[in-house]
Amino acid sequence: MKTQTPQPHAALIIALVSLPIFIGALDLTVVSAVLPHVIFDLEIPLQSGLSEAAWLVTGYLLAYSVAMTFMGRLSDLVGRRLVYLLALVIFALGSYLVAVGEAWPTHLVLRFYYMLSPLVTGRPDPQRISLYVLIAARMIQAFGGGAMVPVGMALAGDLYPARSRAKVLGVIAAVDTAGWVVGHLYGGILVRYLDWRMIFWLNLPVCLVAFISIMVALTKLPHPNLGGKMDWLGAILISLSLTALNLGLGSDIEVGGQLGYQSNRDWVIRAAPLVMAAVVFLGLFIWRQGRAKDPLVPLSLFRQPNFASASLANFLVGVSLFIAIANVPLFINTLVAPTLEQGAWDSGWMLSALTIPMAIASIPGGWLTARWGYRWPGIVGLSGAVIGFILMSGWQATTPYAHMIPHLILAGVGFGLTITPIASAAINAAPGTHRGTASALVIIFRLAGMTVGVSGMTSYGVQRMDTLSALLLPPGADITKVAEVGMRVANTVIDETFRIAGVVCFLALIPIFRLIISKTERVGAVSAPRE
Amino acid sequence: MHLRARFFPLFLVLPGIWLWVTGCVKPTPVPLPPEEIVKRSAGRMKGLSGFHFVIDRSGAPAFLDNEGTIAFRRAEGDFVSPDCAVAKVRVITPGLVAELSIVSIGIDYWETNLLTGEWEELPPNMGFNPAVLFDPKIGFQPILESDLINIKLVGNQELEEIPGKLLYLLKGDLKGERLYEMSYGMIGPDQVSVQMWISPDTFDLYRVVITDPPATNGEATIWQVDFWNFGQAVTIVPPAGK
Repeated sequence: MKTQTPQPHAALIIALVSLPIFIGALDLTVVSAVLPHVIFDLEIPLQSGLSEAAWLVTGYLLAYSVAMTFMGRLSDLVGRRLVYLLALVIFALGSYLVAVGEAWPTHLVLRFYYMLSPLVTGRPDPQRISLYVLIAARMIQAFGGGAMVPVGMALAGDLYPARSRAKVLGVIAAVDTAGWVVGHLYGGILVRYLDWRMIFWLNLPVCLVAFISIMVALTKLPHPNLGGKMDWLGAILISLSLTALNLGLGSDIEVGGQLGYQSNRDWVIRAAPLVMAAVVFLGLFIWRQGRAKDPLVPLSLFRQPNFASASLANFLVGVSLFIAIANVPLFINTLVAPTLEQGAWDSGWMLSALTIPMAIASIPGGWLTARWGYRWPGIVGLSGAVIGFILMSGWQATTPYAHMIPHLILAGVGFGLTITPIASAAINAAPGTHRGTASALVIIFRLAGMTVGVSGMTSYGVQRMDTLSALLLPPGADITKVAEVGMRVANTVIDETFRIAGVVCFLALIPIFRLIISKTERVGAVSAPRE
Repeated sequence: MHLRARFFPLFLVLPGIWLWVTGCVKPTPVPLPPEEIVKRSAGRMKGLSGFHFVIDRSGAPAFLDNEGTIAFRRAEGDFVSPDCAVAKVRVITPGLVAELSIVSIGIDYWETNLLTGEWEELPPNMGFNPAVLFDPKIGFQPILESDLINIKLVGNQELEEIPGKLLYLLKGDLKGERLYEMSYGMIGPDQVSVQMWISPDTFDLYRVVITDPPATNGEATIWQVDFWNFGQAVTIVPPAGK
C-alpha cells in the first residue's frame, strides 16, 4: 500500500495499538518488583529454585523476542487485524493464567500427572508445579505482548507514507521502551498496596477495551496483500537458537551446588552443549535466511556497516542495562529493605532514578545525534554509563539511598544518550522497504541482550555466591553467622556484577566507534526514533 | 402333563441363571474392626524394607528451633528400615524459603548448611531426622498401634493421587505425649485428631492427616504424611567425602 498521505484516523489507530504494546512491555519488567513476593508465596527454596524462578523473567524476555521475529511477517500474509487481535487475546489469556496459576491450572496439571501415575514414578511437588505453570503463563503472555510490537510497526507502514513512517515507528518503539522503563515502578507501587496477582488481573479490562476498539478501528483496514510465504523453518530455527541459549546460560544452577550430590563445577559441562546448539541453530537460521525467498530477516541489512555495528552495540547495551534493572532491586531487597513490601516500594523508586533520566535523556540524545552524528553522543553516553556502573560497584549495605541516586542518574542519562543514536543508525542504514524490519530488529537485539544478561548474571551470581560462601563460612556455623556471611557474600557478588555491566558497556564503545555518517546521509533528514 | 413338559426346560435353565448370578456378584466382605485395620497396617509398615514419604505442613507454623525462626514446611525422602533415611527438608525463615538435605545412617547424621550447601555432621538426636520419625520401634508405626483412641471406620474413599483405588478411611484421636517427643516438639503434646487412608488389600498406609489444634484461639497445624513405593529400599550412602 503506497500512500502519499496518512490513512484516515491513522494517528488514532496507532494510539489504540500502542496501548496494549505499552502494557505488554510494562509486564516485562513489572516482575522485577514482584519476584521476591512470588518466590516467597510459592515457597521456592533459595538453593534449588532460584534459577527456575528466574525463568519468570527470562521466559518472558525469550517468548517476547521470539514472537517479534516472525509475527510481523505473519501479519503480512494473513492480515494485521487478525494477527494483532489474536496476539491481544494470547496476551490476555497469559495474564489471566498468571493471575490464577496457583489455583485451577496447577490442579489441572497435577490431575493430569496423577492420571499418568501408572506410567510415571513419584509425585510432583505442587509448589514446583505452580511455578512451572506460572512460567508457562508468563511465556504465553509474552508471546502475545511481543507479537503486538512488529504488527503495530507494520501497521505504521500501512497507514503512513514513507516520509513520515520513521517518526511513527519511533513512537511505537518509544512506547515499548517506556513500558519496560516504568514497569518496575508500577509493580513496586501496586505490590505495596495490593496482592501481586492483581497486576495481572488489571491487564484484563485494558485488553477487553483495547480488543473492542481495535477490532472496530481496523475493520476497514485493507489487507496488506504483500504475497510471499511465511518462513516457518526460519521462525523455528531462531526460536530454537534463542531457547537453547537461555537454557544453556541458566542451566540447572543451584545455590549450594552440593545439594543433590551435584556440583556447580559441572555447570560448564552441562551448559556447553546447549550454548553450542544455540550457535548451530543460529548458523542454520542465517543459512536459511540467505536462501529463503521471503526471509524473516533480510541478511542484506547486516552488510550495512552501521546496521551491523548498531545491532552489536544494542545487544551489549541490552546486557548491561538489564544487569542494572535486575541488580538494583536485588541489592535493595537483599541488603537494605527490612520487608518484602518495603523492598518492592524502594526498588521501584530507586530504579526510576535510572530509567526516568534514561527516557528523558533520549530526547537530547536525538538532538545531539542530529548535530554531531551517531558516534559522539553514543561515546559520551556509554562513558557516562561505565562511570555510573563503577560507582555502583562500590555500594555497601550501609550506603544511603541519597548516595546511590546520583550513580543511577549518571548511568541512566548515559544510556538515554546512547539509545537514540544506535536506533537511528540501524534504522537509517536500512533501505525504505526494510525500515519496519530494522525497527523491530533494534528492539529484538536489545531484548536478546537483556535475555542473555539476565540468564548469564543469574548463573554467575549463583555460582559466585556458592563459592564465596563455602570459602567464608566455617563448618557448623550458627544461623546468625550464616545470615551475616550471606549478606556479605550477596553484597560482594552484586558489586561484581555491576563491574561486569561496566565492562560490557565499555565493550559496546567498540561498535559505536565504527558508526559513520556517509556523505549522502544527513542524520537530521530522517526522524530519529525517540525512545 | 402337557404344561410340565412346556416348562421343563425352564427348570433346567433357572438353576443355571442362579449359579451365574451368584458367581458374578462378590459376597460383601464383612468389614474388619477399625482397630484391626490399624493393627494390620502398623504391622505391615514395620515389616517393610523401605518406603518413600512426603511430610507436608499447612496451617499454623511449626518451628524446628526454640527461637521460632525456622518453620518446618515440607520434607520428602526415603526411609530404609531399620534406621536409614535420606530427605530434602524445606524450611521457612523470615523472608526466605530454604531447603536442606539430610542423610541419616544408624547413629551417623549429616545435614547440609542452609547457605553453602556443604555437608556437616551433626551429633545424634540433633535436628529433624526422618529415620527417628519412622523407626519401627520408637517412631510413628508403634505410636499408631498403641496411642490411637476413638478410632472409627468412616468408609471407603479414593485419593486424587491414586485414581481408581478405594481405600479405607479411618478417623480417630491420637495421644500427644509420645508424638511430641518423636516429632521434635512440633506435634502435640495435647491430643490430636487423625485421619488415615489404608489399602483394604495390602493394608499399606497411604496417607495420614494429623490436625493439631492450637493451644489458644487460632489456626490449627495440619500435617499430611503420604507414603508410596512400599517395600522399596533405596541405597543410602554417606554424602560424598564423608
